[in-house]
Amino acid sequence: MKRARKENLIKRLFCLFSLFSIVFLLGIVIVLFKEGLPIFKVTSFGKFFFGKFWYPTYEPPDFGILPLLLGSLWVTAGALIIAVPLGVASAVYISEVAHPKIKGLIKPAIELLAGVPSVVYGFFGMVVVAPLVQKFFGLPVGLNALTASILLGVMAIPTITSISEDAISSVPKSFKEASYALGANRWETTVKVTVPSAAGGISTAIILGMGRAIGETMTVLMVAGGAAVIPRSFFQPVRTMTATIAAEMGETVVGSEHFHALFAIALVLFVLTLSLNIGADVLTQKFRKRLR
Amino acid sequence: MVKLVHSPYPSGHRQSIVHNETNIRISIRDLNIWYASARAVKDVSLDIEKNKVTAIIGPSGCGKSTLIRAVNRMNDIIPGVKVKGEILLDGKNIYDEDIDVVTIRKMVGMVFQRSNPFPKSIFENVAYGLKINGFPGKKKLAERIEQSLKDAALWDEVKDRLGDSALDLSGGQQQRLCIARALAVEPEVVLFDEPCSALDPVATARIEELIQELKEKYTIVIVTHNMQQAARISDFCTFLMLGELIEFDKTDKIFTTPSKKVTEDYITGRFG
Repeated sequence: MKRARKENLIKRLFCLFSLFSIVFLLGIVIVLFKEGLPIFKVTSFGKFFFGKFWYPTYEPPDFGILPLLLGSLWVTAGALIIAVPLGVASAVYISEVAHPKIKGLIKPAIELLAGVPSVVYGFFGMVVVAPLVQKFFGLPVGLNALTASILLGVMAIPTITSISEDAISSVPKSFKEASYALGANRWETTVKVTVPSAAGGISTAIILGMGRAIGETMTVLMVAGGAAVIPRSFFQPVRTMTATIAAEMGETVVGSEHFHALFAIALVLFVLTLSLNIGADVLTQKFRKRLR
Repeated sequence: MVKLVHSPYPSGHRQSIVHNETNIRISIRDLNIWYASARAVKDVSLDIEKNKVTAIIGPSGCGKSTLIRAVNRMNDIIPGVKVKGEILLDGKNIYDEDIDVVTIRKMVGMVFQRSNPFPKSIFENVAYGLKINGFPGKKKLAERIEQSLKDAALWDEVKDRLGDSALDLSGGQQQRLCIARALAVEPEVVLFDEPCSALDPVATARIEELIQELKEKYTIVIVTHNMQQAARISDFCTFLMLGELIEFDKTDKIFTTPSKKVTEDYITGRFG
Protein backbone atom coordinates (compact mmCIF):
# COMPACT_ATOMS: atom_id res chain seq x y z
CA MET A 1 0.00 0.00 0.00
CA LYS A 2 2.67 2.40 1.06
CA ARG A 3 4.75 1.52 -1.96
CA ALA A 4 1.87 2.12 -4.33
CA ARG A 5 1.30 5.55 -2.83
CA LYS A 6 4.94 6.39 -3.22
CA GLU A 7 4.91 5.35 -6.85
CA ASN A 8 1.81 7.37 -7.45
CA LEU A 9 3.46 10.41 -5.94
CA ILE A 10 6.51 10.03 -8.11
CA LYS A 11 4.32 9.64 -11.15
CA ARG A 12 2.51 12.87 -10.38
CA LEU A 13 5.76 14.67 -9.77
CA PHE A 14 7.16 13.71 -13.14
CA CYS A 15 3.89 14.63 -14.79
CA LEU A 16 4.20 18.06 -13.20
CA PHE A 17 7.73 18.49 -14.52
CA SER A 18 6.68 17.61 -18.04
CA LEU A 19 3.72 19.98 -17.84
CA PHE A 20 6.16 22.75 -17.06
CA SER A 21 7.13 23.29 -20.69
CA ILE A 22 3.51 23.35 -21.76
CA VAL A 23 2.75 25.97 -19.12
CA PHE A 24 5.65 28.00 -20.41
CA LEU A 25 4.51 27.72 -24.00
CA LEU A 26 1.00 28.74 -23.05
CA GLY A 27 2.40 31.71 -21.14
CA ILE A 28 4.34 32.86 -24.17
CA VAL A 29 1.36 32.52 -26.47
CA ILE A 30 -0.89 34.43 -24.10
CA VAL A 31 1.59 37.27 -23.68
CA LEU A 32 2.22 37.46 -27.43
CA PHE A 33 -1.48 37.81 -28.15
CA LYS A 34 -2.15 40.15 -25.24
CA GLU A 35 0.70 42.51 -26.04
CA GLY A 36 0.69 42.13 -29.81
CA LEU A 37 -2.97 42.52 -30.73
CA PRO A 38 -3.43 46.07 -29.32
CA ILE A 39 -1.35 47.44 -32.22
CA PHE A 40 -4.30 46.82 -34.50
CA LYS A 41 -6.24 49.47 -32.62
CA VAL A 42 -3.72 51.99 -33.95
CA THR A 43 -3.02 50.62 -37.39
CA SER A 44 -5.03 48.42 -39.70
CA PHE A 45 -4.24 44.82 -40.53
CA GLY A 46 -3.43 45.71 -44.11
CA LYS A 47 -1.22 48.63 -43.18
CA PHE A 48 0.69 46.49 -40.70
CA PHE A 49 1.39 43.62 -43.07
CA PHE A 50 1.66 45.52 -46.33
CA GLY A 51 2.93 48.91 -45.18
CA LYS A 52 6.20 49.64 -46.88
CA PHE A 53 7.66 51.76 -44.12
CA TRP A 54 8.84 50.89 -40.67
CA TYR A 55 9.36 54.24 -38.90
CA PRO A 56 8.19 53.44 -35.38
CA THR A 57 9.65 56.59 -33.81
CA TYR A 58 8.37 59.13 -36.35
CA GLU A 59 5.45 61.36 -35.62
CA PRO A 60 3.04 59.96 -36.71
CA PRO A 61 4.78 56.55 -36.68
CA ASP A 62 4.67 54.01 -39.53
CA PHE A 63 4.25 50.37 -38.52
CA GLY A 64 4.56 48.60 -41.84
CA ILE A 65 6.40 45.32 -41.42
CA LEU A 66 6.60 44.38 -45.09
CA PRO A 67 10.32 45.33 -45.35
CA LEU A 68 11.10 43.29 -42.24
CA LEU A 69 8.99 40.32 -43.30
CA LEU A 70 10.57 40.31 -46.74
CA GLY A 71 13.99 40.86 -45.18
CA SER A 72 13.53 37.71 -43.11
CA LEU A 73 12.27 35.69 -46.06
CA TRP A 74 15.01 37.09 -48.29
CA VAL A 75 17.93 36.04 -46.10
CA THR A 76 16.21 32.73 -45.33
CA ALA A 77 15.82 31.98 -49.02
CA GLY A 78 19.46 32.86 -49.55
CA ALA A 79 20.45 30.64 -46.65
CA LEU A 80 18.49 27.71 -48.09
CA ILE A 81 20.10 28.13 -51.51
CA ILE A 82 23.39 27.54 -49.73
CA ALA A 83 22.38 25.08 -47.04
CA VAL A 84 20.13 22.68 -48.97
CA PRO A 85 22.66 21.48 -51.53
CA LEU A 86 25.50 21.41 -49.03
CA GLY A 87 23.45 19.85 -46.24
CA VAL A 88 21.77 17.16 -48.35
CA ALA A 89 24.98 16.33 -50.21
CA SER A 90 26.81 15.95 -46.90
CA ALA A 91 24.03 13.68 -45.64
CA VAL A 92 24.25 11.50 -48.75
CA TYR A 93 28.00 11.37 -48.46
CA ILE A 94 27.95 10.50 -44.78
CA SER A 95 25.34 7.78 -44.99
CA GLU A 96 26.04 6.24 -48.40
CA VAL A 97 29.56 6.93 -49.52
CA ALA A 98 31.96 7.77 -46.72
CA HIS A 99 34.28 5.20 -45.24
CA PRO A 100 33.34 4.65 -41.55
CA LYS A 101 36.51 6.40 -40.44
CA ILE A 102 35.80 9.51 -42.48
CA LYS A 103 32.19 9.39 -41.36
CA GLY A 104 33.43 9.35 -37.76
CA LEU A 105 35.28 12.56 -38.47
CA ILE A 106 32.78 14.53 -40.56
CA LYS A 107 29.62 13.74 -38.63
CA PRO A 108 30.80 15.14 -35.28
CA ALA A 109 32.35 18.12 -37.09
CA ILE A 110 29.04 19.04 -38.66
CA GLU A 111 27.23 18.52 -35.38
CA LEU A 112 29.76 20.79 -33.71
CA LEU A 113 28.72 23.56 -36.10
CA ALA A 114 25.35 23.49 -34.37
CA GLY A 115 27.00 24.08 -31.03
CA VAL A 116 28.77 27.32 -31.99
CA PRO A 117 26.97 30.26 -30.31
CA SER A 118 25.26 32.54 -32.80
CA VAL A 119 27.14 35.59 -31.53
CA VAL A 120 30.34 33.86 -32.56
CA TYR A 121 28.94 33.34 -36.05
CA GLY A 122 28.02 37.01 -36.10
CA PHE A 123 31.46 38.05 -34.99
CA PHE A 124 33.10 35.78 -37.55
CA GLY A 125 30.77 37.23 -40.16
CA MET A 126 31.65 40.82 -39.36
CA VAL A 127 35.37 40.23 -39.21
CA VAL A 128 35.93 37.65 -41.94
CA VAL A 129 32.96 37.02 -44.23
CA ALA A 130 31.74 40.61 -44.68
CA PRO A 131 35.12 42.01 -45.82
CA LEU A 132 35.53 39.05 -48.18
CA VAL A 133 32.08 39.58 -49.69
CA GLN A 134 32.75 43.31 -49.98
CA LYS A 135 36.05 42.79 -51.75
CA PHE A 136 34.93 39.95 -53.97
CA PHE A 137 31.87 41.73 -55.33
CA GLY A 138 33.32 45.27 -55.07
CA LEU A 139 30.56 46.58 -52.81
CA PRO A 140 30.44 49.70 -50.68
CA VAL A 141 29.52 47.64 -47.61
CA GLY A 142 30.07 44.02 -46.66
CA LEU A 143 27.22 43.86 -44.16
CA ASN A 144 24.34 42.86 -46.41
CA ALA A 145 21.81 40.17 -47.25
CA LEU A 146 24.41 37.97 -48.92
CA THR A 147 26.69 37.88 -45.90
CA ALA A 148 23.72 37.11 -43.68
CA SER A 149 22.57 34.36 -46.05
CA ILE A 150 25.98 32.74 -46.08
CA LEU A 151 26.17 32.64 -42.31
CA LEU A 152 22.58 31.51 -41.83
CA GLY A 153 23.20 28.87 -44.45
CA VAL A 154 26.16 27.50 -42.55
CA MET A 155 24.11 27.58 -39.36
CA ALA A 156 21.27 25.62 -40.97
CA ILE A 157 23.55 22.93 -42.39
CA PRO A 158 23.78 20.81 -39.20
CA THR A 159 19.99 20.66 -38.90
CA ILE A 160 19.54 19.71 -42.54
CA THR A 161 22.40 17.24 -42.59
CA SER A 162 21.64 15.31 -39.44
CA ILE A 163 17.91 14.93 -40.11
CA SER A 164 18.47 14.06 -43.78
CA GLU A 165 21.10 11.56 -42.80
CA ASP A 166 18.69 9.85 -40.41
CA ALA A 167 16.13 9.67 -43.18
CA ILE A 168 18.58 8.34 -45.75
CA SER A 169 20.06 5.71 -43.50
CA SER A 170 16.60 4.48 -42.49
CA VAL A 171 15.74 3.58 -46.08
CA PRO A 172 15.31 -0.21 -45.97
CA LYS A 173 18.25 -2.22 -47.25
CA SER A 174 15.82 -4.24 -49.36
CA PHE A 175 15.22 -1.24 -51.67
CA LYS A 176 18.91 -0.98 -52.39
CA GLU A 177 19.21 -4.73 -52.91
CA ALA A 178 16.37 -4.65 -55.41
CA SER A 179 18.10 -1.86 -57.27
CA TYR A 180 21.46 -3.61 -57.34
CA ALA A 181 19.80 -6.83 -58.47
CA LEU A 182 18.42 -4.99 -61.50
CA GLY A 183 21.91 -4.03 -62.56
CA ALA A 184 22.07 -0.56 -61.06
CA ASN A 185 25.39 0.65 -59.74
CA ARG A 186 25.91 2.42 -56.44
CA TRP A 187 25.45 5.90 -57.84
CA GLU A 188 22.21 5.03 -59.65
CA THR A 189 20.91 3.30 -56.56
CA THR A 190 21.68 6.31 -54.37
CA VAL A 191 20.22 8.91 -56.72
CA LYS A 192 17.23 7.01 -58.05
CA VAL A 193 16.18 4.84 -55.12
CA THR A 194 17.72 5.77 -51.79
CA VAL A 195 17.37 9.55 -51.89
CA PRO A 196 13.84 9.59 -53.41
CA SER A 197 12.76 7.06 -50.77
CA ALA A 198 14.03 9.44 -48.10
CA ALA A 199 12.37 12.47 -49.73
CA GLY A 200 9.88 12.92 -46.90
CA GLY A 201 12.58 13.03 -44.27
CA ILE A 202 14.74 15.32 -46.37
CA SER A 203 11.84 17.76 -46.80
CA THR A 204 11.34 17.72 -43.05
CA ALA A 205 15.02 18.50 -42.65
CA ILE A 206 14.80 21.42 -45.04
CA ILE A 207 11.75 22.86 -43.32
CA LEU A 208 13.40 22.64 -39.92
CA GLY A 209 16.54 24.21 -41.37
CA MET A 210 14.34 27.00 -42.67
CA GLY A 211 12.88 27.45 -39.21
CA ARG A 212 16.37 27.67 -37.84
CA ALA A 213 17.30 30.41 -40.32
CA ILE A 214 14.13 32.45 -39.97
CA GLY A 215 14.31 32.52 -36.18
CA GLU A 216 17.99 33.36 -35.94
CA THR A 217 18.53 36.74 -34.33
CA MET A 218 21.99 37.63 -33.18
CA THR A 219 23.88 36.77 -36.35
CA VAL A 220 21.57 38.70 -38.65
CA LEU A 221 21.53 41.63 -36.24
CA MET A 222 25.29 41.77 -36.54
CA VAL A 223 25.84 41.16 -40.25
CA ALA A 224 22.69 41.90 -42.27
CA GLY A 225 23.25 45.63 -42.33
CA GLY A 226 20.04 46.68 -40.61
CA ALA A 227 18.30 48.77 -43.27
CA ALA A 228 14.53 48.43 -43.02
CA VAL A 229 13.89 48.62 -46.74
CA ILE A 230 12.26 46.18 -49.11
CA PRO A 231 15.11 43.99 -50.41
CA ARG A 232 15.78 44.14 -54.15
CA SER A 233 19.12 42.39 -54.34
CA PHE A 234 21.41 40.29 -52.20
CA PHE A 235 24.00 43.05 -52.14
CA GLN A 236 21.99 45.50 -50.12
CA PRO A 237 21.64 45.71 -46.36
CA VAL A 238 18.41 44.28 -44.99
CA ARG A 239 16.72 44.03 -41.63
CA THR A 240 14.86 40.97 -40.41
CA MET A 241 11.95 40.73 -38.00
CA THR A 242 14.10 39.10 -35.36
CA ALA A 243 16.82 41.76 -35.56
CA THR A 244 14.21 44.50 -35.32
CA ILE A 245 12.79 43.12 -32.11
CA ALA A 246 16.21 42.58 -30.60
CA ALA A 247 17.46 46.02 -31.54
CA GLU A 248 14.41 48.04 -30.58
CA MET A 249 12.84 46.29 -27.61
CA GLY A 250 15.29 47.83 -25.18
CA GLU A 251 14.48 51.36 -26.26
CA THR A 252 10.72 51.36 -26.24
CA VAL A 253 8.43 52.47 -23.48
CA VAL A 254 6.53 49.52 -22.06
CA GLY A 255 2.94 49.70 -23.21
CA SER A 256 3.61 52.16 -26.04
CA GLU A 257 2.44 51.64 -29.63
CA HIS A 258 5.96 50.75 -30.67
CA PHE A 259 6.09 48.18 -27.86
CA HIS A 260 2.88 46.56 -29.07
CA ALA A 261 4.10 46.63 -32.67
CA LEU A 262 7.21 44.70 -31.71
CA PHE A 263 5.08 42.10 -29.94
CA ALA A 264 2.93 41.81 -33.03
CA ILE A 265 6.08 41.09 -35.05
CA ALA A 266 6.98 38.42 -32.51
CA LEU A 267 3.50 36.98 -32.97
CA VAL A 268 4.01 36.82 -36.74
CA LEU A 269 7.34 35.06 -36.23
CA PHE A 270 5.76 32.63 -33.81
CA VAL A 271 2.96 31.73 -36.22
CA LEU A 272 5.48 31.36 -39.03
CA THR A 273 7.80 29.01 -37.16
CA LEU A 274 4.89 27.10 -35.68
CA SER A 275 3.48 26.39 -39.12
CA LEU A 276 6.91 25.30 -40.31
CA ASN A 277 7.16 22.88 -37.42
CA ILE A 278 3.69 21.52 -38.01
CA GLY A 279 4.50 21.12 -41.69
CA ALA A 280 7.64 19.22 -40.84
CA ASP A 281 5.69 17.01 -38.47
CA VAL A 282 3.03 16.20 -41.04
CA LEU A 283 5.71 15.26 -43.56
CA THR A 284 7.47 13.05 -41.04
CA GLN A 285 4.24 11.19 -40.31
CA LYS A 286 3.54 10.72 -44.00
CA PHE A 287 7.08 9.48 -44.51
CA ARG A 288 6.79 6.91 -41.72
CA LYS A 289 3.57 5.56 -43.13
CA ARG A 290 5.07 5.23 -46.57
CA LEU A 291 7.95 3.11 -45.40
CA ARG A 292 5.92 1.22 -42.81
CA MET B 1 28.54 -18.28 -76.42
CA VAL B 2 31.03 -21.02 -75.75
CA LYS B 3 29.57 -24.12 -74.23
CA LEU B 4 32.01 -25.76 -71.95
CA VAL B 5 32.13 -29.50 -71.91
CA HIS B 6 32.69 -30.36 -68.32
CA SER B 7 35.46 -32.67 -67.38
CA PRO B 8 34.55 -35.10 -64.60
CA TYR B 9 33.82 -33.33 -61.35
CA PRO B 10 36.64 -32.73 -58.98
CA SER B 11 36.59 -35.02 -56.01
CA GLY B 12 34.44 -34.12 -53.04
CA HIS B 13 30.71 -33.78 -52.88
CA ARG B 14 29.93 -34.74 -56.37
CA GLN B 15 26.63 -36.35 -56.95
CA SER B 16 26.07 -38.69 -59.79
CA ILE B 17 23.29 -37.09 -61.74
CA VAL B 18 22.70 -37.44 -65.39
CA HIS B 19 22.35 -34.05 -66.99
CA ASN B 20 21.96 -33.35 -70.60
CA GLU B 21 25.26 -31.46 -70.84
CA THR B 22 24.18 -29.04 -73.53
CA ASN B 23 21.28 -27.91 -71.43
CA ILE B 24 23.38 -26.73 -68.53
CA ARG B 25 23.09 -23.02 -67.94
CA ILE B 26 24.89 -22.61 -64.63
CA SER B 27 27.71 -24.72 -63.24
CA ILE B 28 28.79 -24.15 -59.70
CA ARG B 29 32.30 -25.50 -59.13
CA ASP B 30 33.84 -26.01 -55.68
CA LEU B 31 32.19 -22.92 -54.32
CA ASN B 32 33.25 -21.69 -50.88
CA ILE B 33 31.89 -18.57 -49.25
CA TRP B 34 33.06 -16.98 -46.02
CA TYR B 35 31.47 -14.28 -43.90
CA ALA B 36 34.53 -12.84 -42.19
CA SER B 37 35.98 -16.12 -40.92
CA ALA B 38 32.82 -18.25 -40.86
CA ARG B 39 32.46 -20.52 -43.85
CA ALA B 40 28.84 -20.48 -44.95
CA VAL B 41 29.15 -22.53 -48.12
CA LYS B 42 31.57 -25.46 -48.32
CA ASP B 43 32.87 -26.99 -51.55
CA VAL B 44 29.52 -26.93 -53.30
CA SER B 45 29.36 -28.15 -56.90
CA LEU B 46 26.18 -28.49 -58.92
CA ASP B 47 24.79 -27.93 -62.39
CA ILE B 48 21.62 -26.04 -63.10
CA GLU B 49 19.68 -26.91 -66.22
CA LYS B 50 18.12 -24.52 -68.66
CA ASN B 51 14.32 -24.07 -68.47
CA LYS B 52 14.05 -26.12 -65.34
CA VAL B 53 13.28 -25.23 -61.76
CA THR B 54 16.08 -26.08 -59.38
CA ALA B 55 15.17 -25.89 -55.71
CA ILE B 56 17.59 -25.44 -52.83
CA ILE B 57 16.28 -26.77 -49.54
CA GLY B 58 17.73 -27.23 -46.09
CA PRO B 59 17.35 -26.12 -42.48
CA SER B 60 17.72 -22.47 -41.47
CA GLY B 61 21.27 -21.19 -41.63
CA CYS B 62 22.42 -23.92 -43.98
CA GLY B 63 23.73 -21.44 -46.52
CA LYS B 64 20.82 -21.59 -48.98
CA SER B 65 20.47 -17.85 -49.32
CA THR B 66 24.21 -17.30 -49.42
CA LEU B 67 24.48 -19.83 -52.22
CA ILE B 68 21.70 -18.37 -54.34
CA ARG B 69 22.95 -14.82 -53.80
CA ALA B 70 26.32 -15.90 -55.11
CA VAL B 71 24.77 -16.61 -58.50
CA ASN B 72 24.14 -12.91 -59.27
CA ARG B 73 26.94 -11.70 -57.02
CA MET B 74 24.58 -10.04 -54.54
CA ASN B 75 27.00 -11.08 -51.81
CA ASP B 76 29.40 -8.48 -53.21
CA ILE B 77 27.54 -5.70 -51.45
CA ILE B 78 27.97 -7.29 -48.02
CA PRO B 79 31.28 -6.22 -46.52
CA GLY B 80 33.63 -9.03 -45.49
CA VAL B 81 32.34 -11.71 -47.84
CA LYS B 82 34.95 -13.86 -49.56
CA VAL B 83 34.17 -16.19 -52.44
CA LYS B 84 36.36 -18.99 -53.75
CA GLY B 85 35.50 -21.32 -56.58
CA GLU B 86 33.69 -20.79 -59.83
CA ILE B 87 30.21 -20.16 -61.04
CA LEU B 88 30.02 -20.67 -64.77
CA LEU B 89 27.15 -18.93 -66.52
CA ASP B 90 26.95 -20.30 -70.05
CA GLY B 91 30.53 -21.45 -69.57
CA LYS B 92 31.98 -18.15 -68.35
CA ASN B 93 33.05 -17.70 -64.75
CA ILE B 94 31.09 -14.79 -63.28
CA TYR B 95 33.78 -14.26 -60.66
CA ASP B 96 36.46 -13.63 -63.28
CA GLU B 97 38.12 -10.26 -62.92
CA ASP B 98 37.11 -9.01 -66.35
CA ILE B 99 33.42 -9.61 -65.67
CA ASP B 100 31.16 -6.60 -65.23
CA VAL B 101 28.91 -7.33 -62.29
CA VAL B 102 26.17 -5.15 -63.80
CA THR B 103 25.99 -7.43 -66.85
CA ILE B 104 25.70 -10.46 -64.59
CA ARG B 105 22.87 -8.95 -62.61
CA LYS B 106 21.02 -8.10 -65.79
CA MET B 107 21.35 -11.68 -66.98
CA VAL B 108 20.47 -13.13 -63.59
CA GLY B 109 17.44 -11.48 -62.03
CA MET B 110 16.39 -11.89 -58.42
CA VAL B 111 13.21 -11.91 -56.37
CA PHE B 112 13.65 -11.51 -52.65
CA GLN B 113 12.19 -13.00 -49.52
CA ARG B 114 10.15 -9.97 -48.58
CA SER B 115 8.50 -8.13 -51.44
CA ASN B 116 10.44 -4.92 -51.84
CA PRO B 117 8.80 -2.64 -54.39
CA PHE B 118 10.22 0.87 -54.47
CA PRO B 119 8.01 3.59 -53.00
CA LYS B 120 7.14 4.63 -56.54
CA SER B 121 4.24 3.96 -58.88
CA ILE B 122 3.59 0.49 -60.29
CA PHE B 123 4.73 1.71 -63.70
CA GLU B 124 7.92 3.25 -62.35
CA ASN B 125 8.78 0.08 -60.45
CA VAL B 126 8.80 -2.01 -63.59
CA ALA B 127 10.39 0.77 -65.63
CA TYR B 128 13.28 1.20 -63.21
CA GLY B 129 15.52 -1.56 -64.52
CA LEU B 130 14.85 -0.58 -68.12
CA LYS B 131 15.61 3.06 -67.47
CA ILE B 132 18.92 2.51 -65.74
CA ASN B 133 19.99 0.20 -68.54
CA GLY B 134 19.32 2.83 -71.14
CA PHE B 135 15.92 4.30 -71.82
CA PRO B 136 14.40 2.32 -74.67
CA GLY B 137 11.94 5.01 -75.79
CA LYS B 138 8.47 5.72 -74.51
CA LYS B 139 6.50 3.32 -76.66
CA LYS B 140 8.91 0.44 -76.27
CA LEU B 141 9.03 1.08 -72.53
CA ALA B 142 5.25 0.86 -72.21
CA GLU B 143 5.19 -2.35 -74.25
CA ARG B 144 7.89 -3.98 -72.19
CA ILE B 145 6.15 -3.00 -68.98
CA GLU B 146 2.87 -4.45 -70.19
CA GLN B 147 4.59 -7.66 -71.28
CA SER B 148 6.45 -8.02 -67.98
CA LEU B 149 3.30 -7.45 -65.96
CA LYS B 150 1.49 -10.01 -68.11
CA ASP B 151 4.33 -12.51 -67.64
CA ALA B 152 4.07 -11.95 -63.90
CA ALA B 153 0.29 -12.49 -64.03
CA LEU B 154 -0.38 -9.07 -62.61
CA TRP B 155 -1.47 -7.08 -65.67
CA ASP B 156 -5.20 -7.64 -65.36
CA GLU B 157 -5.19 -6.50 -61.76
CA VAL B 158 -3.23 -3.31 -62.28
CA LYS B 159 -3.67 -2.22 -65.89
CA ASP B 160 -6.08 0.57 -64.92
CA ARG B 161 -3.94 1.94 -62.16
CA LEU B 162 -0.35 1.83 -63.26
CA GLY B 163 0.16 5.27 -61.73
CA ASP B 164 -0.82 4.17 -58.22
CA SER B 165 1.79 3.61 -55.56
CA ALA B 166 3.16 0.08 -55.54
CA LEU B 167 2.79 0.10 -51.77
CA ASP B 168 -1.01 0.11 -52.12
CA LEU B 169 -0.91 -3.42 -53.57
CA SER B 170 -1.45 -6.52 -51.45
CA GLY B 171 1.51 -8.63 -50.34
CA GLY B 172 1.05 -11.19 -53.10
CA GLN B 173 0.57 -8.51 -55.74
CA GLN B 174 3.69 -6.72 -54.51
CA GLN B 175 5.69 -9.91 -54.89
CA ARG B 176 4.35 -10.43 -58.42
CA LEU B 177 5.27 -6.81 -59.14
CA CYS B 178 8.80 -7.59 -58.00
CA ILE B 179 8.79 -10.55 -60.36
CA ALA B 180 7.60 -8.31 -63.20
CA ARG B 181 10.33 -5.82 -62.32
CA ALA B 182 12.94 -8.57 -62.52
CA LEU B 183 11.54 -9.90 -65.82
CA ALA B 184 11.48 -6.47 -67.44
CA VAL B 185 15.24 -6.42 -67.99
CA GLU B 186 14.93 -9.75 -69.85
CA PRO B 187 17.19 -11.94 -67.74
CA GLU B 188 18.05 -15.51 -68.64
CA VAL B 189 17.99 -16.81 -65.11
CA VAL B 190 15.65 -15.79 -62.29
CA LEU B 191 16.59 -16.45 -58.69
CA PHE B 192 13.88 -16.67 -56.06
CA ASP B 193 15.02 -16.37 -52.46
CA GLU B 194 12.13 -17.78 -50.40
CA PRO B 195 9.63 -15.74 -52.42
CA CYS B 196 6.56 -16.98 -50.54
CA SER B 197 7.74 -16.92 -46.97
CA ALA B 198 5.72 -13.78 -46.20
CA LEU B 199 2.62 -14.73 -48.20
CA ASP B 200 -0.65 -16.44 -47.41
CA PRO B 201 -1.48 -19.82 -49.02
CA VAL B 202 -3.57 -18.33 -51.82
CA ALA B 203 -0.90 -15.84 -52.83
CA THR B 204 1.69 -18.60 -52.50
CA ALA B 205 -0.25 -20.83 -54.88
CA ARG B 206 -0.34 -18.06 -57.47
CA ILE B 207 3.40 -17.53 -57.29
CA GLU B 208 4.02 -21.26 -57.58
CA GLU B 209 1.79 -21.46 -60.61
CA LEU B 210 3.63 -18.50 -62.07
CA ILE B 211 7.02 -20.10 -61.54
CA GLN B 212 5.80 -23.13 -63.48
CA GLU B 213 4.88 -20.87 -66.39
CA LEU B 214 8.10 -18.89 -66.19
CA LYS B 215 10.33 -21.89 -66.67
CA GLU B 216 9.22 -22.02 -70.29
CA LYS B 217 11.25 -18.88 -70.87
CA TYR B 218 13.70 -18.75 -68.01
CA THR B 219 16.00 -20.88 -65.93
CA ILE B 220 14.82 -20.80 -62.35
CA VAL B 221 16.55 -21.34 -59.05
CA ILE B 222 14.47 -21.16 -55.90
CA VAL B 223 15.42 -21.28 -52.26
CA THR B 224 12.68 -22.50 -50.00
CA HIS B 225 12.33 -23.89 -46.54
CA ASN B 226 8.99 -25.31 -47.47
CA MET B 227 9.66 -28.87 -48.61
CA GLN B 228 6.20 -29.37 -50.05
CA GLN B 229 6.79 -26.34 -52.19
CA ALA B 230 10.07 -27.76 -53.46
CA ALA B 231 8.34 -31.06 -54.21
CA ARG B 232 5.49 -29.30 -56.03
CA ILE B 233 7.37 -26.95 -58.27
CA SER B 234 10.94 -28.10 -58.83
CA ASP B 235 12.53 -30.43 -61.35
CA PHE B 236 15.79 -30.73 -59.48
CA CYS B 237 16.41 -30.41 -55.81
CA THR B 238 19.50 -29.65 -53.76
CA PHE B 239 19.67 -30.49 -50.08
CA LEU B 240 22.09 -28.32 -48.17
CA MET B 241 23.13 -28.67 -44.54
CA LEU B 242 25.66 -26.58 -42.60
CA GLY B 243 26.94 -25.19 -45.88
CA GLU B 244 27.55 -28.59 -47.43
CA LEU B 245 25.73 -30.10 -50.36
CA ILE B 246 24.32 -33.33 -49.03
CA GLU B 247 22.34 -34.48 -52.01
CA PHE B 248 21.44 -33.18 -55.43
CA ASP B 249 19.11 -35.04 -57.73
CA LYS B 250 15.87 -35.05 -59.61
CA THR B 251 13.16 -33.84 -57.29
CA ASP B 252 11.03 -36.99 -57.47
CA LYS B 253 14.05 -39.07 -56.61
CA ILE B 254 14.95 -36.89 -53.61
CA PHE B 255 11.43 -37.07 -52.28
CA THR B 256 10.86 -40.77 -52.90
CA THR B 257 14.16 -42.56 -52.66
CA PRO B 258 16.84 -40.26 -51.30
CA SER B 259 20.25 -41.85 -51.26
CA LYS B 260 21.34 -40.35 -47.95
CA LYS B 261 19.85 -41.08 -44.57
CA VAL B 262 20.08 -37.45 -43.45
CA THR B 263 18.14 -36.27 -46.52
CA GLU B 264 15.40 -38.71 -45.69
CA ASP B 265 15.36 -37.58 -42.09
CA TYR B 266 15.02 -33.96 -43.17
CA ILE B 267 12.30 -34.41 -45.77
CA THR B 268 10.29 -36.63 -43.49
CA GLY B 269 10.45 -33.93 -40.85
CA ARG B 270 12.60 -35.68 -38.32
CA PHE B 271 14.57 -32.47 -37.88
CA GLY B 272 14.83 -29.00 -39.41
